[in-house]
Amino acid sequence: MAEIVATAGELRVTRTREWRKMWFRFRQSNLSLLGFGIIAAVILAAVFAPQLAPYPHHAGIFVDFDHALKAPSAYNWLGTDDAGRDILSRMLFGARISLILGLMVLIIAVAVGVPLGVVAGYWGGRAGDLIMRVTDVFLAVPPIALALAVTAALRPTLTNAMVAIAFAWWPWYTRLVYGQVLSLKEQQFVEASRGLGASRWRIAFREILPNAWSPIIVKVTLDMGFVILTSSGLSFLGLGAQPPTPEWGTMIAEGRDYLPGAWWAATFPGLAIFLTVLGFNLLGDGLRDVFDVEIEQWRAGN
Amino acid sequence: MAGRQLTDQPGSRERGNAGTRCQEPLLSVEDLVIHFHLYEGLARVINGVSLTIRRGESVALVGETGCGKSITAKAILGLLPPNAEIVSGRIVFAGRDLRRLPEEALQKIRGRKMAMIFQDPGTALNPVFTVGDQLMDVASWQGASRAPLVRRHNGELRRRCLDMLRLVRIPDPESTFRRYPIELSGGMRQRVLIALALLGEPDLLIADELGTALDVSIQDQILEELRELVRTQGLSVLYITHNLGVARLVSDRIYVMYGGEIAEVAPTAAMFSRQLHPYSQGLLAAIPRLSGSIGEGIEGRIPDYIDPPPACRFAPRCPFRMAICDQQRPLLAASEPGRLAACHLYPASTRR
Repeated sequence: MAEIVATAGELRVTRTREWRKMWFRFRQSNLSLLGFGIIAAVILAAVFAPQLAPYPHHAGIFVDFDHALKAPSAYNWLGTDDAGRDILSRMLFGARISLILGLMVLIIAVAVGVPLGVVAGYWGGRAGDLIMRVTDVFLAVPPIALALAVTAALRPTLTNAMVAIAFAWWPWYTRLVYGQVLSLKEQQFVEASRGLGASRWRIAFREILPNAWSPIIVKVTLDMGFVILTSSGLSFLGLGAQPPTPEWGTMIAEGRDYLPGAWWAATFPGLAIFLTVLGFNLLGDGLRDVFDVEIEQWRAGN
Repeated sequence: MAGRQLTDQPGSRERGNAGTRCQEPLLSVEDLVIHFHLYEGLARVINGVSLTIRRGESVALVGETGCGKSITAKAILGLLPPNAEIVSGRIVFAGRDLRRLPEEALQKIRGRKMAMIFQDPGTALNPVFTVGDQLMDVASWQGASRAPLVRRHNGELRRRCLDMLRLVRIPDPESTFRRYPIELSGGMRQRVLIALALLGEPDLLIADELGTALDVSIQDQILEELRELVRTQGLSVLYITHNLGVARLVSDRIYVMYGGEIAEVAPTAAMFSRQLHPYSQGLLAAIPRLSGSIGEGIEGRIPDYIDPPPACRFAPRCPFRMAICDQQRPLLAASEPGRLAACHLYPASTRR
């Protein structure tokens, strides 16, 4: 046997090295690292909000008009709002809401959009056409407008905002996966598994779909930012989270009446949205760079 | 008729109920006609192809690129593209007409009764799964498959996959099991593909341009190993190849295909000692010799399938072209004992 095969130990080293290599590629861009740092901070803030917040009880129903609209100080680092609540504490709890909402929306969007995209791409035919035309109709309407319409029709609550955004978001995943599946289904390994007797379902979901995960992961990361932006927008318009929920959009809506005098009440929640969206975008771009190289290498390997 | 010395291969008895009917061919394709619906018009690609494979027999289907060999193989497996239409003919496998079977039944036959080994080991394996995952997957859906999720983690299944890797002579199967295809050399990937095809214990293997993507020494090695495996397991094989050297190495009988038709059929040794059909002669003359002289090759190109030559499809390129060649299609007939040719040079081919 002319070919040399490594031992199990060497294989483990190779795998570890692969991960290191991906991390190395990710680190090449300072912006990716910045994104990673911001998102890590936001996640930590969300997880440890009760411990980090100087006044955790300010996140709920709490009124202290004696300290309303105080400027940033040693007691309230980012100032207080019109009800005397600590803005920093509320922002930390707001991170929880935004992250959970973003995750839920994208879980629904992926759970609905991805299987539809696989079915439309792999089966095609009438059913596929129908799925893609419905998708096109959804894509023709801006998601914020669609979500507005849905929340307006339902009662304005955080849960309904989530449902509304998910309702507007799944078609993007159907489109993405549809395109991926169309090109992947021409790959020889698909025909090879047909030649070995694999069923269509198995080929679509077990052979093709796993090859499409990296663009989906990149898109989910990028979309986290946009979903948070959209949900904050809905809340700002009063169609999402309702006061006194410490949602960032709601906080801006409450604080905007006191601009420009008590600028901190609206500015800091706005900064939180800005940083989180920026962070997810940078992180997503970084992941895309890593995955793209992986794909290029695989193609070059053949 | 052709290849009669091969009907009693010892291996053929060991496989299932083969003993009682080893005279009956395992696969017989009868007068297969396939058209492709293209933008440019109707392409009459496969024009009455017949071939038989007996149990334990290795048959090579030889022809230049575009002659319809791969289409024939895909028709046998039921994997034709949607714009292809089987117009007429029968594909009888182990006594069943595959054209009459529904897709679900065909799917059960693929992998379990007949399996395909694909030509490009670089792309025929799924890049995102380890070799072991792919083997276990195939083994689990080809097994009794009542509870595939339970069976996946079955130690016995794993052992079977490792045994299969050993059978195709992969050194250190344990380590290969946990590797991704990209981490293997071309030869190793080809061996894994063979292992995948053998997992379902098929009766018929279809090898499409096996090893063409590999370098020649590895290709020879793999063909040699497969031939050995086929002998010991009593398998039937259909080799699809454009390379007569490969066909000589692995097959018992050769079908030469030209322009969607069978030009000549002969036992391998007989084919190499003398070719009847002018196309076979040209094909052999085109093989580069070790002496350094390069063969003459065949003038012209494969026929236009939308507007094919009216009678003999090879006529426009044939050095022996006669008037009748443009008027009457030559029949594939026994021009000599044990061999068939479709050419008007032999009286048997000319209809009277």
